[in-house]
Amino acid sequence: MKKRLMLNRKGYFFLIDSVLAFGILVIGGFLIFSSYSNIPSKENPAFLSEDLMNFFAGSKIAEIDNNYTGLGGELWAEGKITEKDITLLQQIGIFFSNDEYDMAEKFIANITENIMPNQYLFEFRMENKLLYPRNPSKEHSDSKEKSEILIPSKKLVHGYLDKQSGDMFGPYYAEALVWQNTN
Amino acid sequence: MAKYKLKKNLGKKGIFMTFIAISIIATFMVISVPSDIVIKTNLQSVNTRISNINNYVEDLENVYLERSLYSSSIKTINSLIGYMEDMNEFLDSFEDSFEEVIIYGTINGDKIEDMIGGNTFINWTNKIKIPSEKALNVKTDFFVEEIEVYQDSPWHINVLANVSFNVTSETVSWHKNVIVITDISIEGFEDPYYSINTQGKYKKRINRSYINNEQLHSDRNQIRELIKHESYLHIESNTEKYFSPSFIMRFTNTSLGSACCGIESIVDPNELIEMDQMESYADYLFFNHTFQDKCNKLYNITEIQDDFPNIKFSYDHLIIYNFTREYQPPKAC
Repeated sequence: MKKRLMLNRKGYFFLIDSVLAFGILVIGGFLIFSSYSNIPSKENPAFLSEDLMNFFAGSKIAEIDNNYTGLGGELWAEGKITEKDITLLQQIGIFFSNDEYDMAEKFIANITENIMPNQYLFEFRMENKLLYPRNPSKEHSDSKEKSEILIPSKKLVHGYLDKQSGDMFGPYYAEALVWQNTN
Repeated sequence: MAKYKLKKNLGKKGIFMTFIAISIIATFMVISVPSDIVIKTNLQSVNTRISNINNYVEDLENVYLERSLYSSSIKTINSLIGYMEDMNEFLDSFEDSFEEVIIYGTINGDKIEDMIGGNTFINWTNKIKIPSEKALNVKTDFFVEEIEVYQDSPWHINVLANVSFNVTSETVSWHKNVIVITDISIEGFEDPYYSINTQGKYKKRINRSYINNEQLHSDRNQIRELIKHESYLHIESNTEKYFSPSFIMRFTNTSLGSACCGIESIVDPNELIEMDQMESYADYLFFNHTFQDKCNKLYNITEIQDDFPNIKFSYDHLIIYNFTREYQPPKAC
């Protein structure tokens, strides 16, 4: 009888021990997975701003199929774009150098129309001057203020204004800032 | 007493098991992902930063310095021509003057800011320092050790710069020594031979003719086109007497021939105040008066006199422009 009682007590002890171990496992797992879950929201805007800047710096005018900015488009016909082998970033630099800020804004708006996911907003600056959007809406500014993560992507841009005469523009530093629209 | 000992032994075993379980979980937590994420995130940001600076260094090495050298070389050549026209004199040495202007923005110690306008090579290397500091938080220093200018083809000037630069960030620094070479087409530049020798009354820009020796020899009418379009020719020959001075040699009024790079044009008599001169109308011979008043060594090119009267050539140029076959121009006296 006494021996049986002792064995019952032993089982009770092991049961508490396993519950304790299970609790530790649950807390440990929770800590691990909660630290994982923070990462994607932090890095997406950073990747997007980098991607946006790489798109500007890596794509040439000749490669863009757009009725306004592309080869044979509106700006080309008006003589506002004359070089097809320069990058989009260089073209923005030329507009900036000639104080054509409105044209730069329209240019950026056109080329990013279908590449930026709807849930994200962005700003584009050159030498700290806001080129896109030129006049941010209240919704835009509020969203930016509310955003917890703002990671800019920066690049230098330079090129020829007129190769024949040796006129150059820049070097300017350009900055793209992308964040998640919280509104 | 025996019962108590058994109970005590069992209790000690349980604590021992609990400690083992906690140690295993703790070890698992320490080794597992959270610490890894911190390291990975930090490594990624450092990698991105180094990669961005590396791209900047590559851009400096392969694009920016060449572009700056090209731009400042064009501005330097135009400044030299402008300075020569203002002073109405030729340079003592094109190479020395070029180096002085492109580095310091001066000629013979005189500032020519209005001509070069902040476009010296040094100006352009300085211009990237502030934007790169703002964009990448790096410090950039340049040292221009040497600049050379030369021609190894008739229609281009080569400019070579020996430049070293340091790019320093808080984590890493780059030190590079690069030879930057750019070539500049001489087409479109004013020919100082014409403007200085005529006190600015007759100016001509270099306009390359694509007529080759064969075409020149097969069709004598080509000479009309050459004069009409104010074109320049490079005479391909192995014989020294057919060599003409290069574009660079025209800055020092040199009439010696250049085997690789000589160019010549024909002086249009309609552009001269005194149309009929006893000279060879090949430009370098005309302006250096090589055949002045040597009428017995000159021939009247009567075949084109309706458009271009009074043009005369020495015998060597009769051969170059194919005036020795079928048609023999009369001697000038």
